[in-house]
Amino acid sequence: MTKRTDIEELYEAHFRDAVRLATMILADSSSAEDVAQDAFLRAASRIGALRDRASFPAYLRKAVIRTAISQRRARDRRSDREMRAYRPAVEEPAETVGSDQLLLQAVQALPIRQRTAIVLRYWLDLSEREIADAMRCPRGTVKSNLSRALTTLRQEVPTDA
Amino acid sequence: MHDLEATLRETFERHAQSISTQFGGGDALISSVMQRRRRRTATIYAATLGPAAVIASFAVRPGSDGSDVQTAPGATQAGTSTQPTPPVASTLPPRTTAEPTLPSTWPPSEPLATSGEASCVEEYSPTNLANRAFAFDGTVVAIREVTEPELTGSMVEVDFAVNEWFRAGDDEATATVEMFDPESLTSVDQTGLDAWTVGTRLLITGEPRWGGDPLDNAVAWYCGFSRTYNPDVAATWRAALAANRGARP
Repeated sequence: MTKRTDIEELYEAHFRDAVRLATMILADSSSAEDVAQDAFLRAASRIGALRDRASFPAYLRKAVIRTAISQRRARDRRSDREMRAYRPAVEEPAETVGSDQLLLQAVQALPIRQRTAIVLRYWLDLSEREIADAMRCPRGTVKSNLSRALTTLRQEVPTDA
Repeated sequence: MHDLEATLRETFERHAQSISTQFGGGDALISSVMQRRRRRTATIYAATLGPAAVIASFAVRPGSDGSDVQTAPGATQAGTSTQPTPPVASTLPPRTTAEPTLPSTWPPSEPLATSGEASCVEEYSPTNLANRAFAFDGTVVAIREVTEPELTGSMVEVDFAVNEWFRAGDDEATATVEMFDPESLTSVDQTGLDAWTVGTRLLITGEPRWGGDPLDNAVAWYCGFSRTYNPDVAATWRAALAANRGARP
């Protein structure tokens, strides 16, 4: 029987990571927190179905990734016209200036699946197989998403940036 | 070339460290989780008492990659179930908006069986049916296993040839929905039909697993909602969903 304290422990241990990941994918802190909450609610509600509670972080991570992609794609489709002109604003932290900002803006302008693959590969250091599992797509699709994203970034961001 | 990848790692790390993780709402979120957990526990308990106690909807669960197709389209139905066996063509039936050709009699519609992991939070009724994101009349054409290493239980991805859309779907001739693997269900699972297979005609309704558009990672709702085809029930669905067309986007 899952107790409230169990859920509180999961929240304390993992919710910040969920928000961070959603923010890295979406570059929008308010949407990211909504996505993280939605993902945590779905994942924690299924805690009884987990083979092992130690797998909760990986399960929550999948939930964040899939929720972020689904919700962003739905939003993009709803307002496709507006979104073509939309370049997400990366919140500028004190430590991030100049070339970092340029690169982050270029990443955030990528299509959602390319952006997600890049974040998972180069921030979380996931393998292509792990990314394919998390994004629920074939490994070949991950490869092509990463390849296209890197090509775009090389064009958008000067190599000495 | 390598420089860009190294730069990405360094930039992401700096950016991630700068992201604020100060937020409120933790107590409310935890309370919501506990409410869902309580509903699930109550449902599983109720499911052990008998079919009358098991009504309502099904909470989504994540899945992952599909793999091998279990059976080829056009196969006949296996088992000794009373499941209706509509005429199954060797090719996919085209989508129509009119009532499909029907046998003269159909068995009563039966709800599909689920595992004890189903969480019933809404009673099946035309009103609640009208709140679902998608609904259609379809014939099973393929079943693929889904593996989710973190979770117990077994799910399958099911491809349908759609005979009629009641909600969402537009002009799509096919639909793919995640469902409980009927072969994995046991005697402690909820009552309902578990012998559906390729060729079986079903009425399916559900939600997008992770939010978003109606058919994004679509999962079937159980607990009385998704069920075997019967023209009378199909007519009820058609009317309920048409009457509440504005209930969902």
